Amino acid sequence: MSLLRVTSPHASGQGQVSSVMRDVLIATLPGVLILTAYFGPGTLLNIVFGGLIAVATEYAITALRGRDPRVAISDLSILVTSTLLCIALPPYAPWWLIVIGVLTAVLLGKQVFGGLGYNPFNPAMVGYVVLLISFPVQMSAWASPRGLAEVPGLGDTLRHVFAPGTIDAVTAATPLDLLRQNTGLLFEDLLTNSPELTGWGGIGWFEVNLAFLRWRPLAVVSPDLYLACAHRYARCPRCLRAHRI
Amino acid sequence: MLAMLSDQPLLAALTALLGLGATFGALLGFAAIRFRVEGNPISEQINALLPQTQCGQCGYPGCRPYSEAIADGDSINKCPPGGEETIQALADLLDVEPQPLDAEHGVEKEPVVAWIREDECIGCTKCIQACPVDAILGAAKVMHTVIADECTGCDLCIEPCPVDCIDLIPRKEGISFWHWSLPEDRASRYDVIATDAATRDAA
Amino acid sequence: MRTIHDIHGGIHPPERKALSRPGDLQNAPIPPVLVLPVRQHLGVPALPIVAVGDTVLGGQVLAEAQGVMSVPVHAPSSGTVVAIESRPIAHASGLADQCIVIQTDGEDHWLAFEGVTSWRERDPATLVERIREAGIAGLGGAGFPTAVKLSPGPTRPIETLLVNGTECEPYITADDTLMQCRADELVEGAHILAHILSADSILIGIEDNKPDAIARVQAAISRAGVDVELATFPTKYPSGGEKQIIEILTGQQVPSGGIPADIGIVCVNPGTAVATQQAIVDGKPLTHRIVTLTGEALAAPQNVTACLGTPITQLLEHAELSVDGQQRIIHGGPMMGFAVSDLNAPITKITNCLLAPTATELPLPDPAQPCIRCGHCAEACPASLLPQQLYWYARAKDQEQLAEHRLFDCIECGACAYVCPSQIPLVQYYRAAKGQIRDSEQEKRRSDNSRERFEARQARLEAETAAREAKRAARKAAAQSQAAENGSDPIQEAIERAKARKAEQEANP
Repeated sequence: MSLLRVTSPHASGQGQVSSVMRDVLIATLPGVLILTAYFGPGTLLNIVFGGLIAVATEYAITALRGRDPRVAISDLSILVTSTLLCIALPPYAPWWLIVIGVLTAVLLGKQVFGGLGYNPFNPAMVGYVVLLISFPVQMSAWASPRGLAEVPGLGDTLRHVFAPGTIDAVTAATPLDLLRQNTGLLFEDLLTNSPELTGWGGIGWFEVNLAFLRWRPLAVVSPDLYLACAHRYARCPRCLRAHRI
Repeated sequence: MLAMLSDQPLLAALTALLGLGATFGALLGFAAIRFRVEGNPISEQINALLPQTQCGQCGYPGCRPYSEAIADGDSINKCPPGGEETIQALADLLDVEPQPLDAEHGVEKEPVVAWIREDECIGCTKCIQACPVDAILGAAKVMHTVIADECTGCDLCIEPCPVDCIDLIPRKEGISFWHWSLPEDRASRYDVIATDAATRDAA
Repeated sequence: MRTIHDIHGGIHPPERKALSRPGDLQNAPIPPVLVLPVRQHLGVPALPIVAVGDTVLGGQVLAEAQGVMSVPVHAPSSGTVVAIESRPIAHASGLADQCIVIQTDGEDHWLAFEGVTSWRERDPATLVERIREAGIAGLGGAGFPTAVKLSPGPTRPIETLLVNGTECEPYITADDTLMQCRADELVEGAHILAHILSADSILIGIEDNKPDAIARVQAAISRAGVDVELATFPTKYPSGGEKQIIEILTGQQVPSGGIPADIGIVCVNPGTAVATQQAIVDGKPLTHRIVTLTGEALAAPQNVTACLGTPITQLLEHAELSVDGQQRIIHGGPMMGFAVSDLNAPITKITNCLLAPTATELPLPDPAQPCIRCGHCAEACPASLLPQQLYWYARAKDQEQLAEHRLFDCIECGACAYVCPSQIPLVQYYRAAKGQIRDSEQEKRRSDNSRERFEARQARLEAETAAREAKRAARKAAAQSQAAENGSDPIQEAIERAKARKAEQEANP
């Protein structure tokens, strides 16, 4: 028998990096579902396509850096990065936008600093910021939510993403734009009368409001959802009082 | 005079500026003398960082002279007992680049204390005179001994001893000086200790 | 009913306490050789007063306490002193320390002891002295000399004596067993301690995962018919930390850097209370303790009363250790214990458990991965520290920031490392950083001292030179003034004297 010398504690919990990352991925699910309900399969396509690019990049880079690529992939951190970034990108964004964003996130956001744990910034946000500065037009080209326009099917989605130009732009006024353009109506009237904020969209605000109350972190995941939350918040008289607005 | 100044805006501006400068200059000068802070001179601060071995390996007779020399611009890498840590601290204090220890003055060693082999000591008092911190106790023709708690391990007593009865022994040995060291970045997190057969046979 | 407070953080590792069958106490056999380290406590080692070849009886003093922060060592059985030398001891460093080795004669002859049953009439100071002479050091794991703990000084009046029967570490059941088997002694011991401290109330705290111990202690309190409060609280690791149990039971926090006595509480382990009772009432010194032998690598896990100084290998053999290949033997529990590096090392006053886990039971740690800043450690920390920040600063050896983030409030419980998904050995970083800080503080003190001595010497040498100069100047001045008086030049006179002597010598060869 030979003895082993190990430092305490000798027991350890079940926690793994991959399980932390898995939990984050699960936490994005409700947000992704709502995005899909609003905007159709565009977000899902973003996530799947971005994820493939990200995994391939991570694999190649870790192999180049002389690390074990399978270990690097299996901690799921790369999927968290790509998923967070792709949720934040507009649905139906052109394929090259996703590729540039993911490459920036993985290469400049993460791997140049030494990989997992050594990145000073959130890699997904590095990718997002670079895209926002470089491609403001594409980054603000959000599709109209269900209720304002027809949500494209899967075939249209693929064409739109990989062969841009075959479909004309499907952008429409965002609710914030609606407020800006409004000149005559009271805010309350606007909330009850304008088509953007009633009907399907109106129900949506209610759903998102629930998410805000129960799952605030995930509402923060997407700027659009966050905006929606703010809207609902503004409608609630108790909140208005609480904040002396 | 005022009339002339109002006629000559350039002159007025110059006068005003000069006046203001003179006033504030005088004020500052007064404050500098009146509210003078008896600050820690830089050599004091340097001296506080030096290990106070008083060994003279830096080429100066003691830590205070070396601290004064550093304050006057000598390099900070001449103190082997202080080692890298002291160089780093001095570099931080003086806001200069840390340099590697100058090997000309010696290398960084484990801290030691002097130990007199008492039955060999002839009582010559030479080491007592050499000790910079009065850590050796004794009198002429009787045995001397080192007060281990006060000894800095400077080795200045070794050379004068005519019978070579002084040893330098490690100061930090044994269980009471041990502490955990930082984990190493390596693949295996445990040591295998080969105690195999002997233990089992004895048991 | 006492309000039970909650502490920040904490974890719920699998308890595995039933494995060692708490409450069933056996006697371990007296080993052929006892190895008694002179340092079984926190503080100054004891000084051996026996010589090789001496015959000793059970209970005889082998080594005397040196100063206040020290306790003596007694022989746990009769025999002959065969060596006083450096031997491997159970210590995280794996280093050796001075030990007194006794070859037992198997007859177990003991000195006759004289106890004090009427301790209530005795002066606390004499009782403290008896406790010190009995060699009692905290049996919970740190080995702090009990006599020192019982002398908090007049500035710290003690209101409450708290007996900490939490035993929150997984696997260990030594205190549980002690509370079940020695409940009456425990209650009386607590009373003696409270009497010494002039404490108003006695509080025994037990975690609610020990129903048998709770029932037995409750019964003992009723039997004794005395006023002792028994408080139970939910199981959570590390509720048994001194500062943690005080917060749980009183809602008060021990100030950072302070001791419980600062808020009027003295906290002792049940084993210490029982040892006190034996030392006072029976006059018996501390020579045995209860040790939990557990882990799946043992065929017969159990609790035993063992002689201090029994080699670990003997006890493991007694509990039928059967392993081939690599094995960890942990001294203490799985959270805070250390791996033993030599099985010939003996058990000491601080050994509450020997754990021999199999590799599937407590898997060896995987290589540490980079910190992903998940913050689980901060959620688990019972001292409300920021383990992640401490980790970065420990790596950077930034002592200032470590102090700023209150490194020394860390109790090294291991909760942070337990929850760490990256398997970073956080506790080792903190221990190393603490060691480095203590080291540099000590060096600083030494160097300040040296500077003072150097400067004092310089001043003395200068004063001596100045005094010599002054004397010479005075002599010169005296000579000159004499010359002025006599109207002659002393130098000229001296030359003439020398010439005269020379002439004389030439005249009388």
